Amino acid sequence: MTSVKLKKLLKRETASIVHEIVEVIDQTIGIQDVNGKLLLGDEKSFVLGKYPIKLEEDVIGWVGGPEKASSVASLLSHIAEREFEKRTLSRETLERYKEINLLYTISAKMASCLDAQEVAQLIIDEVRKTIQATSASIMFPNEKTDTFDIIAAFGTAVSTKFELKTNEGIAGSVLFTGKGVIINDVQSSPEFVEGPYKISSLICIPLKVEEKVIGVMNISSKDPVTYTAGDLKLATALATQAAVSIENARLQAERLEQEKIVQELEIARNIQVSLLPNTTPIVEGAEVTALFLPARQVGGDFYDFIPISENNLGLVIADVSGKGVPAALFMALSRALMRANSLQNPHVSHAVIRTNKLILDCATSGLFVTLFYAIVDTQARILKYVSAGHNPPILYKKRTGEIQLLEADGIALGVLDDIELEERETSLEEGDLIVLYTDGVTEAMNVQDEEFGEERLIQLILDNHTSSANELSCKIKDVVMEFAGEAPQFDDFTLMVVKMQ
Amino acid sequence: MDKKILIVDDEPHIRALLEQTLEDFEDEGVEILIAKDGQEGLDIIQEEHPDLVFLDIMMPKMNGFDVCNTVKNELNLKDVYIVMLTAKGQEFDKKKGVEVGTDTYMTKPFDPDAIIEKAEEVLGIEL
Repeated sequence: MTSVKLKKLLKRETASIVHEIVEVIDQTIGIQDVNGKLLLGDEKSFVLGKYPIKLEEDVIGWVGGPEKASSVASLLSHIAEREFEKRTLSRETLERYKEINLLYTISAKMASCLDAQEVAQLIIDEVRKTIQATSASIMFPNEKTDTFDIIAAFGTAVSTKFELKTNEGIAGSVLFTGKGVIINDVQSSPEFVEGPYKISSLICIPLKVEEKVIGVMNISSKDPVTYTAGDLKLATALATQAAVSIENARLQAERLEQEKIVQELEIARNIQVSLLPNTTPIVEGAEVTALFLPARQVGGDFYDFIPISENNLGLVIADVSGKGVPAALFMALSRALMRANSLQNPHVSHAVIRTNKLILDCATSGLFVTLFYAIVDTQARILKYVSAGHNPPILYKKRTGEIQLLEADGIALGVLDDIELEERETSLEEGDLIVLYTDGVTEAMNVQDEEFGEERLIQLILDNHTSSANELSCKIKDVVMEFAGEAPQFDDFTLMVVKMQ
Repeated sequence: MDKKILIVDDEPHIRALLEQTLEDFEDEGVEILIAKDGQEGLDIIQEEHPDLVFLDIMMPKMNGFDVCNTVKNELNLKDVYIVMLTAKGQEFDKKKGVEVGTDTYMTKPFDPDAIIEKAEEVLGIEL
């Protein structure tokens, strides 16, 4: 509380002024403090009269002496008033000065801080020095759980396990309205949600970046406190600083994460592309071709040509679930096992069943792979095939002009230990076309969110059945790309075409 | 005997702020004295023998270094603890500070908490 002590007042210039006045009025006077202690002059003068020295309505001392001494009392009252005003102003200025100093210190500290949690803790630590509180926290809404996550705290908020929903409580309301509140009697607030610790008074302010509320800051006291508009203003200034720094720190972290993802994708893509055949085999009796366009996100598509014997060529097309490095590694494993087993097992189903077993023995990643495996006998013109949950390839029969889907029962690999795969076969003739593909072809989307679809692919094959395998695969790619237009490619695009000669 | 703090600064607002910052020490019986320039500061130091002095450097009549040098080296008042106040952006001449016998220095704009901590430490008073 700002006050003026008469003893102190009389020590400065005032004392010499009083002495001058005493000389002018040529009378003896005395000055006492409010408790009657003589500060200046003669005690005996109080016998003649006693005049109060007032500061507003309070008496802070007395002037003793003849009637003229009353003017000294008036003068001292006036000087005391001026001193009181000066000190009140100084106190106010000091408060503002402390705030500026605090913001200055925080800005300097935050400038070198790039971690959101560290910035938040810095603010909380400064808050506790400046605003009376038993607990404080900075919370961000968690979009997955719809509750607040406490990212920095002091006091009881540090250990709380209490989960506040983002659409309830005072914090929820501040998050929604973007307006800070002072609630000095929390218990009577209808919005208050009781937690495990007692709260009597609370300041809750939004952390805003431009107009977006990214979180809230709570400052609370278990004992009743009268938080003022000044406290709210200071807390808001701190919250504004914090919000910008935290957002910058978060953006920086996201950027680093993004860079990491890009690097990871690069690795995954390199693994994937390095494992695909770099040439297409030349076989007598058939023209074979393959086309692969990786998606930015890197799916797990792969294909392979496996030379089983002179006239028998194994064809593998597969799609691994998941994306990125895990999918690329799973693809590498699946491809290697499939290749090894195909060479050892003349039966298409045995090769794939064996591959499934080994995948389950080797991998615990929870990934799986859909796969179509066929052996084309270019001499006998027979196609034997199995499908482990893969899109059925399309067979165009030149003689009848019909389309046949190469369907066979079976489930994806890497899911169940004992699987059964239906092994089927079909005869082929000159001019027949087999189009093997992954869902990146038929599920390619355009900007209107429409899928390319199996029907369009079939029509394309019917319209271009006279083309060579290579021409047809290029045509399919061009048409699908044209269909997708500006829409991004979300999945790998893999296509194999075999044309019987 | 009551303890004394002297504030020596030619800028009225700095004097007022420092005085206000140190206000609570008055309740502990500490007397706060004020001087508006170096010469007045030196006079008060000789007369009142304060325990702690917050001394501005750039002042009319007599600068802070000269005041400090006179107090510490000529008057040999080693027990007067002197905190030199240097304006922000104005590099404190540490070598000169040591020569004239300053005890420490602080930068303006000062941190009120740091001023209080220093006064508590020098006067042995805990607010």
